[in-house]
Amino acid sequence: MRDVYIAAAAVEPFGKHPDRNAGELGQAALRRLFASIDLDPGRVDIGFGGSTFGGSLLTQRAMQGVGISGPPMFTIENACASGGSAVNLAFSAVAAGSSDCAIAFGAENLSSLGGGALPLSAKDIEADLGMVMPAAYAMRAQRYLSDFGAKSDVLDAVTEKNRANGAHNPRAHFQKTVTVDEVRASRSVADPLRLLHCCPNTDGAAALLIGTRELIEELGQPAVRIVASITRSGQFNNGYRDMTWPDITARSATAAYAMAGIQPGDVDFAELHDAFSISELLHAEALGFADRGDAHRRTLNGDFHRGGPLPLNPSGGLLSRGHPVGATGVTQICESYWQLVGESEPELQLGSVRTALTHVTGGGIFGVDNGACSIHILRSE
Amino acid sequence: MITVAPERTTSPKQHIRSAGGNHVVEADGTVRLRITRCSRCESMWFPARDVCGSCGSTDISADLVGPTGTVYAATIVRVDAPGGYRGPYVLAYLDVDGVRTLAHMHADGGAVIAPGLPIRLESRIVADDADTVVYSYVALPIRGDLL
Repeated sequence: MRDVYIAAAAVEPFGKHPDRNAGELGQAALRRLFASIDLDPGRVDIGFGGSTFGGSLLTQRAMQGVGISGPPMFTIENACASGGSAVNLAFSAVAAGSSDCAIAFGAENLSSLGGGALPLSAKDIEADLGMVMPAAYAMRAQRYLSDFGAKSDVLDAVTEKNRANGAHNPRAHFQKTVTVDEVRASRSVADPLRLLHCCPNTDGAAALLIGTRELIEELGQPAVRIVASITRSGQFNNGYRDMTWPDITARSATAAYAMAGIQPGDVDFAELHDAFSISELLHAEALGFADRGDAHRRTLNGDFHRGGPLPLNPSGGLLSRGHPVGATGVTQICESYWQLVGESEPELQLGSVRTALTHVTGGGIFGVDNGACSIHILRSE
Repeated sequence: MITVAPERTTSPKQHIRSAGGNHVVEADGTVRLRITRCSRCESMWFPARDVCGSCGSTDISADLVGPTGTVYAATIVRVDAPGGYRGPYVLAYLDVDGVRTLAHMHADGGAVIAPGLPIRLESRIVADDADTVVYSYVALPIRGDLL
């Protein structure tokens, strides 16, 4: 397997873009990507676009906007992990030697769906009974708080932390801090989750150029290697699952750490899937960043703040950036890349960091924790 | 299949449907869930399946479980959802004789729906708007166990 590097990253700022469809948003991110490097688009030999609601042939529509047509292109739908899955496939193509210069992007326009909870498949038995994603995470939250003696204050604290991080991110949907009092005053969506415990519906796109060591040297780009790239599906189980233990994330993380040859303690910071405040606690534990049932204490202790020993979601997370479903997994990697090469905005930039983990997971279907999960580990060399 | 909806007067405009997996309504209104047991790996499935979701075996048998169980977790949903569901309504994951299933829950105001609460299943209306009436199995707290 060949070593695989990130050669360039670009994000079309997230927010409300009702006048641009997913293909147009993807084009905008790709134009930013090519504006940042001196590369003939004809060199791109494969493309993967992640999107859940972007429609047929999204990848072709977006890539045509930067003069790329002809090479193999694939549009990847894997719910919230669509973008991470697209990166995983681009990684695999370069690692296998079938591609030297690959594009992976994610793009989504959720404004076209109207407001409220994202639509789930009507064919799903739980959706047919009125299940919505906030309710699924609300039940996990109730059980987590009950099992581990945590108080709902910790959910407020996660939102406060991530919104404070996102306040410095010019690419975030929400660039404004919130206080815990404002979180508690927001309307209830599904007890114990309130509106400000939930990420917003957002439009946006992000893109990566992924290639060989030779490619980054030719472009004069810094060396950030993808040392792990993993996608897993949810294990179908109708029994008494522990819903406070996201097993798909735990299995993906075990595989990613083995691929990278590192331990959770070697990670300097992480961008993880905080679609709801409770998600950050569940995923911090499943990723090995906190002992079982201890993420709530570690959060309140400030361990996951940007000044703490393990910053989580220093770019603001989904709670600030928003969640243009297919773009989320790609933008996490863009933000982490800029941290590792020291090109984040001064207010966003962490101190000396070398190893980053990104984690995206989702898909609300019956019988699994999530439908799909992608984890990437990046290391600056 | 002997799923029976309790009698109810509906307006001519209303369409009646049943939501959730196949189940049986007993004469006293309680509900038993029609499940599948895998003979090879012993997995249990609700809704019933023709192939085991764990091992792919077709060596399976049908069974009925319920009508009692316990709440694994619950939430009061305060938004609307597609299918005619109007918030607030209560959803719960229930543990019923080895299967975990989602259901609506009806509880008196003020009743604490905490993990571990014993319930029984009955057929009730879970959504009722101008166009549609939806029936399903609904969890009700077992009185003597409410604190």
